[in-house]
Amino acid sequence: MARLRPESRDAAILLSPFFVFLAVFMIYPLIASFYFTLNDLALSDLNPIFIGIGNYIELLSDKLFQQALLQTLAYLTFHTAVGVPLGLAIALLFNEEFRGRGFARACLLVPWATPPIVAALLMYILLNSGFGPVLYGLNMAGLLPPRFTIFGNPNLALLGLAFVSLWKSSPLFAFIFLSGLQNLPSEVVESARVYGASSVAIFRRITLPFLKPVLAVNCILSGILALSGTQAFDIVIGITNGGPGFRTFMLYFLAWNTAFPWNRLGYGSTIAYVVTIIAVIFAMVLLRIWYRRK
Amino acid sequence: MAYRKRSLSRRIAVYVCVLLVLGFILSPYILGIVTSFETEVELVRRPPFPFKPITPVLDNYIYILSYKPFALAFIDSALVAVATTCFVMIAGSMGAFAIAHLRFRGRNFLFNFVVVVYMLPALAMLIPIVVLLKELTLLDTIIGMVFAHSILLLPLMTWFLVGIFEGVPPDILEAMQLDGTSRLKSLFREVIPLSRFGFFLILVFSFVTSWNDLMFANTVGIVQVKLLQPRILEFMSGARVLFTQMAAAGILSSLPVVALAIVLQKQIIAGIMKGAIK
Repeated sequence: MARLRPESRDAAILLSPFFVFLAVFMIYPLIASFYFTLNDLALSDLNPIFIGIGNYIELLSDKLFQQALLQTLAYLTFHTAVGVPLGLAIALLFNEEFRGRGFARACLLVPWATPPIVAALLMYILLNSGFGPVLYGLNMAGLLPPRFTIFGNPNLALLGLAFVSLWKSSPLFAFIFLSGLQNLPSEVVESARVYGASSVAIFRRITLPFLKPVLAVNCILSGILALSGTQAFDIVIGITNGGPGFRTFMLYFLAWNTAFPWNRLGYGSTIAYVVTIIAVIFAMVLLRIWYRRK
Repeated sequence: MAYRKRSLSRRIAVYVCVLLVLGFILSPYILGIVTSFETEVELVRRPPFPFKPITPVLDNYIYILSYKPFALAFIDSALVAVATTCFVMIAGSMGAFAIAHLRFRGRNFLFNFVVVVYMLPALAMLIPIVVLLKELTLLDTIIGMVFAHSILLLPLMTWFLVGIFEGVPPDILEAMQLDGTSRLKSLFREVIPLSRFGFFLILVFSFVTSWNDLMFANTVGIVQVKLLQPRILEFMSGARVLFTQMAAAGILSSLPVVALAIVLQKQIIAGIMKGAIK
């Protein structure tokens, strides 16, 4: 047997902890997870019953799954279409000269660092109809009827959750945009200004094209967060727990509930696989739009 | 004259907008802190806080800090977050060093594979992991929890570290190689100190992710290991804890991570600039 080159041998040694972990705790589970989707399996007895594509067929007629799918897409769209531009706007604002800029920038990291369940708790207090000041203030100003609730209202609960996740993500997007803006060549902007370019033109012709890669990072990040991140689970379970009347169930939350509290690991894995497929499609569509515009 | 005037109104507009953004970001915390110093009777008496004065009391903090399940969860969470961070940093930087600076077959494949694994929803892995941990009798133990949290972190952190380590000039490493220094030694003596800003970023990110995680913690920990975030969820879903006490618990549990993020803000920016996000 040929001896390994020392470099490959060293690489093998260095990579071994990483690779053993990857194999045992990630690759094996990914394969097992696919096998689960072909089975009926409960955590209580761990005795798989092979049912072929039975779980996938059940998806097609599952009303709750369809509702969760639509709600997921709405949430994802809102989170990206509102959150990312808001982040960009905040970044441009915090790139201006003003007193206390360092403090303001540091504040951008606060929502990101906040545990999502604590974010849910704080927002629940803020937007509560009983002792929260926001609804009380709007009521006093005559804009809302008394006893108006957000999270208890079937038509508003999802939007309320989206607002909470906006609080959590858009400052993070702003922070990432801001670090991208640090590399913007200021000579180019200055000379454009000297030649009389308007702020809007500078933004459209110089700043935005320059920020394109950062914009891509933020859009993908937004997709991951809203689809299968803390925004799709922690905030939901903390504030509405899927209610009222399943109106805030999203796929990720549905998959977890199906697998664990409802004890159907096979069907839960199947829904998690659908989330995976949506994640891949989202990333591909985004990259496609990207390269066409280039 | 006209220019000055425009710039003055512009400056006022900037300050107004900054205040609005800061209000949006900080108002949940301000209200949460106020609530944590109120009594329950005071809290439900209308009108709510900014429309009435409050007299602060420390009762909620005293109660929650002496409430054993909370204190235990706080310690366990710290233990798990520190252990996870250490494991991810050691395994991740060894692997990233090999990917960034050594030539071997399958190097590019491995690098791309790591990214793809990260893109997959963690829940797809969590379901079989729970089964695996149950079979290894690691379910509901600290070690099982550290492994579970490492799943969330190891691929992404390794990927970041590859980008950071690529910034270290290879000549230094070649020189050390010629001196007969082992790879492991040059990793810890040279590569990590030279890329400390990026390393800081990864460190903070790992700790915050582990500390903040709810889904894995709530599924892998059942009775024996109840971490902080699941404990807060338990409070929120109607255990015998008052709202004001819950607010105190929430403020306490976000204190370590928020403080860490603010204190290390400069290092985090430097880390991002040094190419952690490309």
